[in-house]
Amino acid sequence: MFASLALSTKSLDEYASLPGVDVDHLRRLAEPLRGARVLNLSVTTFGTSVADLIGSSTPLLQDLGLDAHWQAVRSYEAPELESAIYNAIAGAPTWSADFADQWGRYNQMNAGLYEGDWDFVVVHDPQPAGILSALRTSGNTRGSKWIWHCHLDLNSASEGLRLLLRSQADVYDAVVFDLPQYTIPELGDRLEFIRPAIDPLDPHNADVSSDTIQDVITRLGIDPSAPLVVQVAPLDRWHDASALVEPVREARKSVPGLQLVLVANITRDDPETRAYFQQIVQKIEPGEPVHVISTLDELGYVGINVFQRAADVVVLRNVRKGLSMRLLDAMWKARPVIARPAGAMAEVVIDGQTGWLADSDEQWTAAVVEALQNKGEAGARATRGSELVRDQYLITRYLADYLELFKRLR
Amino acid sequence: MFGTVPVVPRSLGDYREVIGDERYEEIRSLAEPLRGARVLHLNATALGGGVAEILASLVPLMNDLGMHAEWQVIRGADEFFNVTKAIHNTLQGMFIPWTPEMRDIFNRYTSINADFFDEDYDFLVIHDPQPAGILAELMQRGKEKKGHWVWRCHIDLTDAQPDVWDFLRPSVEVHDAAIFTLKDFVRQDLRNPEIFLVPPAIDPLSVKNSPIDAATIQEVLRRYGVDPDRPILLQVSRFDPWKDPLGVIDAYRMVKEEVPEVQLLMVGSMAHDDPEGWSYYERTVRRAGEDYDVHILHNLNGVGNLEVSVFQAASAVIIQKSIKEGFGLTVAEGLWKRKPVVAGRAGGIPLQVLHDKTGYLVDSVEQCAERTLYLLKNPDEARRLGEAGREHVRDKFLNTRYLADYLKIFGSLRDQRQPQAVGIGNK
Repeated sequence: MFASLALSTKSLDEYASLPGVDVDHLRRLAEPLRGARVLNLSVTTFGTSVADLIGSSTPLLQDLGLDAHWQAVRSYEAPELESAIYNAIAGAPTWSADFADQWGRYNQMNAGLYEGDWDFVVVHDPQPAGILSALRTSGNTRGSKWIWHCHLDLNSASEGLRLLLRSQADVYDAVVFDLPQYTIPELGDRLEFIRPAIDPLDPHNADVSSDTIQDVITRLGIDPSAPLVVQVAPLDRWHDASALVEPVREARKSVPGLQLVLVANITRDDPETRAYFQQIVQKIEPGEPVHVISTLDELGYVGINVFQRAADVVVLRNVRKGLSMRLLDAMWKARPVIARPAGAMAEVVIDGQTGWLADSDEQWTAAVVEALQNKGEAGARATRGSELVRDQYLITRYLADYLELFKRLR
Repeated sequence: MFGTVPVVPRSLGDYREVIGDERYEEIRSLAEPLRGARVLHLNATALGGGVAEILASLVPLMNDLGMHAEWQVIRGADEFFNVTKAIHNTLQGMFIPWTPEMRDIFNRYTSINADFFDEDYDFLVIHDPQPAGILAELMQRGKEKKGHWVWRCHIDLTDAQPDVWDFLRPSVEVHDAAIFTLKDFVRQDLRNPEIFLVPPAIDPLSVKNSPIDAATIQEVLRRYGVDPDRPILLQVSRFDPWKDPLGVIDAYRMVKEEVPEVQLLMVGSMAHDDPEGWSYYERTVRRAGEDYDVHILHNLNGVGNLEVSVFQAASAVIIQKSIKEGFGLTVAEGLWKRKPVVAGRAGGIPLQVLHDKTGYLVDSVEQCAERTLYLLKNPDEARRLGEAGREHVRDKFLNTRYLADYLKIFGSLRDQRQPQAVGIGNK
């Protein structure tokens, strides 16, 4: 069998006091599904937004009376396959018949580890998606309803991978994407959409006293008395942190002492990250108040949270079209936000309403200056942003979407 | 020149309140004769790890004391760092075949880095194996050795793979001095350089050691599913057999028979590319089973320094049940937070846990359970040990002592006298 995950307990009652959350509605939805056996299968276990989502939603489904579990399919055996899939999703034309064969064998292996009787099996993301057809061959699917939930944007995916995924998607009872813009025409129109969500009660969103916030940022070399712009994103070209240095430098002419803090998830051995880090360091002038604070400084979820709370403005120079859960966390905490007008992020950061959208360097400088100087406007947009997240991107809405999907499939 | 790592300025004055006037003045007077000295710390990465952590405070403190200290990183591509990772692992006792190709790659990058070396310093501290070949390469090119070259070895060399150590040893031996963490880590066959010992230390001003208010502590515990109103046992360490996480769970179970409300928190550090670590983590999770009072957390599910600091501050007893240990600096972190520590008699732990003074040294699961239970039932005793632990760390394991050790070493190298005793158990 697979390794079981999700060891924490959660109580839905704790969510009842949050604004806009209707716990009774969820309990009513869940009533006819009491006792339903639900298995989440994923390749990811920790440290990704998908893992956070499964890690939060599974214990809450348990609290709603479903028999929900989370298991991880095996992944170590095929690191080169894993990177081939990632590259193929990003559009590299390297996906070959060889990889397709390997992928088939990898899914066969996982099919052999699959155990148990489930009413619903949710397979997350493309890597393990082939497990169902492997199981069908051996007649081992036992009448479960099978859902494939792809959290990744497939628009750039290479031709070979698209065709492969289409043939796999056909055997599922439901195919779910996070957002309509992540899908590809090959998958047809028999699709469901369940947007991702943040957990307002996880450590990312814990309340932290202002004393602790001041103390922590001071210890990391940040001046708590000077204005602070923060980006929380990986150090890579998809979250173009180095492109923030110059617009913020320009904004510093209007806002003296303006600090830029880049909070990043860094894997020490990743050459791209190392190169990108170097690129940023080279852009920073001696003595310029630009700081890179990373997970290698052993910054955890509460640490990231502290920087978001300390920020006067939270920004995201997003190049990809996806949604940043960290930016949603910041909006939930009513921080003024600025993002690039790319894809789904622009549906959440609505220019003039819930934040600022900026593309050129000049626009970025202007947005940063306005967000810092016009406190009234920044506060109003931040409040509307928090309301938007409350209405559309909380884990309770994600649970409701899943409960409804289960009911329809049953 | 190499890539210079920017550091956040620090002032020794910020430590004065923590270390007291006497130590503050002592450090200032040690630094006085070294005013203006040019110091280079050279290592392989600015991105994290214990060495980067200590340099981030050591370098700016040296500058604050009037020296011109710099931290630079050598250059290298993946092929080089793959080789140095293998060297690192083999020096710590793992077996990896040492091939001529690996040797050539190491030599090639050493030569490239020697080309970058173009400035004069009074003291050069070369950290760990990655840059260790540069001095020998420069000397081979007929360059004059300027300044005092010190090789700072942060790893335990006792079980080093012989062919790798034989390759590295001649490069190490052209240095004027070598600094090790513990006496036990020193290779007996190392000739020529003067040996100094500098045990590691914690930075009382780092986020790891922030005092955190009670409300934030309670809130963070709840967000991780831990009940702030029930006693917490904590072990902070990797999930591997040498830290005996399974033994910790067994000891917790024995304690729980008598104190049913007790909770266990195990906090570790995981790497995606470490299958052995994952498989031992999985064993730990299985041993915990369905007991939701056992919380197993790590960096990849969001635990960083601030969280660890919260957990330490919230603990009733801190456990470090190591069977084999390097130095075990998390023990000092726990002691600094005034917590009694129950720990295995291994590596550097007995230097930190003084039996019945700052905690208890134990040799079995049963002893671990018994001592932990005793501390839960005798809070006054726990408090006494915790207070003594804090003073012991203040005396021996703060980074200001680490700084003072370096100043003494520089002073003695410059005076070319026999070194004064430095650190603990100087050879």
